[in-house]
Amino acid sequence: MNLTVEHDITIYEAEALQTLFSEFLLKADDVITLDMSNVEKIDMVGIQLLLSLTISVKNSNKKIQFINISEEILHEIKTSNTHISLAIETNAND
Amino acid sequence: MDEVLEIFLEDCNDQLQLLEDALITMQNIDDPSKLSDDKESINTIFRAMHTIKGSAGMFGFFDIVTFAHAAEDLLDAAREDTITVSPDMLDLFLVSKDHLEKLIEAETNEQKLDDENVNIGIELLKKLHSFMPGHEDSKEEESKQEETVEKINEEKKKERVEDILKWHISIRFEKDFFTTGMSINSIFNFLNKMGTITTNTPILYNIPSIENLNPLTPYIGFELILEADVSKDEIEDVFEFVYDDVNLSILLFEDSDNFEDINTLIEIRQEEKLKQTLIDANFYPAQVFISTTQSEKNQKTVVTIPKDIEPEKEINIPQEQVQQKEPQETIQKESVKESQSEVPTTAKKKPASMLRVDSSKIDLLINYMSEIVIENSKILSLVEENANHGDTINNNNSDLEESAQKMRELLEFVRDGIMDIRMIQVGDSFNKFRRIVNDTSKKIGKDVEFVISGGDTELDKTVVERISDPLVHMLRNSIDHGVEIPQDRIAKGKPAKGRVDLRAYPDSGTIVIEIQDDGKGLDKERILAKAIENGQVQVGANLSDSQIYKLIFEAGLSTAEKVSDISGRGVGMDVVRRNIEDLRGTIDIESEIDVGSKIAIRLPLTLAVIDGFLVQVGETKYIIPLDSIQECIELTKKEQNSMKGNNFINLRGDMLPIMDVRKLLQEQQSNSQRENIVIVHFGEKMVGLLVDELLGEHQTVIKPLGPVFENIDGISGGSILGSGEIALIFDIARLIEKSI
Repeated sequence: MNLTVEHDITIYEAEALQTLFSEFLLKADDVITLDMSNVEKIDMVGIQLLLSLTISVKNSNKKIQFINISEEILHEIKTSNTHISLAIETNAND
Repeated sequence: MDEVLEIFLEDCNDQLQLLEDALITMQNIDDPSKLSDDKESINTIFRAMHTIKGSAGMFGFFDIVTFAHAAEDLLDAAREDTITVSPDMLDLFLVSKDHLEKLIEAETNEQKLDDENVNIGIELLKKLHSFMPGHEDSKEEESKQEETVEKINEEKKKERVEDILKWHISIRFEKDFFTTGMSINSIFNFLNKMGTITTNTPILYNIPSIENLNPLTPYIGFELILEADVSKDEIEDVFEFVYDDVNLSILLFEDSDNFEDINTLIEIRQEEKLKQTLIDANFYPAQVFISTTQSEKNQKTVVTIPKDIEPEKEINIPQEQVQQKEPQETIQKESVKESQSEVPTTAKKKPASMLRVDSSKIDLLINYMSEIVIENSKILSLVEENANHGDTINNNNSDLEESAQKMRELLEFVRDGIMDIRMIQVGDSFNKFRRIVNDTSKKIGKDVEFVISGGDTELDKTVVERISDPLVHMLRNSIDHGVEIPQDRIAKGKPAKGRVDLRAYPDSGTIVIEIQDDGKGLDKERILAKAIENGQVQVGANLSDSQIYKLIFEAGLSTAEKVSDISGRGVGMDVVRRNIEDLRGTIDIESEIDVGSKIAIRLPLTLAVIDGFLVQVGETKYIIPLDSIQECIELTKKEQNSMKGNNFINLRGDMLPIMDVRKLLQEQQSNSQRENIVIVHFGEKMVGLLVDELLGEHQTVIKPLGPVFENIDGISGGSILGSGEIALIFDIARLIEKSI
């Protein structure tokens, strides 16, 4: 099941995204694909949010993958070394 | 520019100003051999540079960091007395400050420096390095100087390989960390510039599931291994600006047979999974960690920590562990910061009593205040009307009147309070001129002592900002045209060093700013001759000294023998006068040949509001600023007759010029039986304004009249009365000038 994130994932959008992700997870099927093509900015609040989502997905015995990640977003995630936990391949940009 | 960047820019500007002020102070020390003794100024400069470096690092502005770091190294050497501060070094720091300003501007505007400024930066870095102790001007150094900034730092890194230390940095965040706006990735980038983060283990086990997550609470943490030639203090400095919001622990890995108990960190963190996480991430071998149950069960041996390690506590380890001990990396605990109890010594906090406020918010409040004042005036008018019509239906009329009057008093307090917020001390602005005076004097080979007094005088922020450029222009003129070169001054029996005074003081509801020099003074004859040549004055015109001196504000009039890039083109002083007149200010000049000149600028305290006195002239109401009123007298028939058609009266033995406002402003003849004279003053000059009726005090918010009316001489603005009528506000300074 796909979800396209329409905005940035920063402190400013965090609360709204948390609600969105929580609701989405309830009705999502086994594989969740988060399309990040519209995400231009991410901060540590956003990275933590994605980590929390990943944890919840795993606890639900589901899978999550992130696609269409821009170089800038990937760089931010890699700097904090959280790409492994998010299962984001460093050359992934599909 | 986003809000956080704006704060960064403001803070940097404050630091750069402190830095410049301290450098100028040092430059004013006569004996160069005493420069190194001025530790207070050196420390101020160092702290400013250090603060800029630290905050730039937080934002990842590494060009600023690199440049500031080089300057900081030199300043540190000066603090430690390993180098001697020289006038050349001070000049270099001033130029470096300018370059730093450009770097900061470029970064905050997300722009790249142009090639010219990049090269300037490289040259400045070379010069900064050249002052460092042990610098040799060898060919090897010359070839290094050809390298880029990046390569210079790489070389230094290589030289320090054997000094590389291995640090374990444990980071957790306090609940408000995310709201500080600081980027943890910037911290990582900065640490990577200091050395290399060889291991970065995010701590994720505290992050709850999405439905239980408070997005603004930082659950994430990090365990880092940093390899760098840095001290613990230098690592702590990286976190200086988030010190209150970070729970930081810094431990040094060191090859040693002795080790501190890493469990202390585990205990402080109170995280069950931390131990295993550190083992899995190859921070420490499992043997390092001792469980409390195990230590209770086993026979204990007390190990005394060697003297060269700060003894914090005795460690109990099992006997067999001592016997089986193999050489392994040990941990020497440097410090563990306990967030609840420790007061960080390097924390940077704004003083609690200060608050930065966007001045546009104050302007908005003033606008609302003006509307409230107008509405309150309407209420008072209605109350008065009801009273005049004998309205007794509602006995609350007197209560209403009382409430309206009370409201008026309260509004005055609030109005004064808001206006007071806008008042700032002129000294902050005046201090910025030190650099300009310093640079201008040096450029033209003059030696000038610049003295500021009355810096604590307060003036409206807008007025201070708008008077700044005119003052700079006049200061430059004083130095260029006023103060003589040292040889000429000595020949005249004056001290070689000239003096320029800039002073401010309140006077009768205005602020006076004076620029005075002890230079050669203004040549009246030359000024008059030039003005006649330009056609600005007719031949034979009878002008007072003051009027002749004021001709220097006419466009195109410069008696300078040569044009310098500082002054002399005759363009500028007319703009200065216009700027001051736009502020409802006036200028007066006094001068004496070979003694000096004094320019006095009078400015209103504020542009927005005045307390006024309402008068009727013909069909129109006018407001006279209350501060300018000396007294009001009735013009009796007897006095009218004694005037005999002249425009002056005898006021207690003195002649007082009278200005008939009706004639001046072409008002119709009024039906008023009485005429009154309101005697007003501006500075030392006085005039009597002939008006019809006196209507009483009136607090007034000045509304601009707009471009159609801006050329009406003697009127500075308008005000809306409670009745809805417009009252025009007299510009007393202009009126008095016209009457002379």
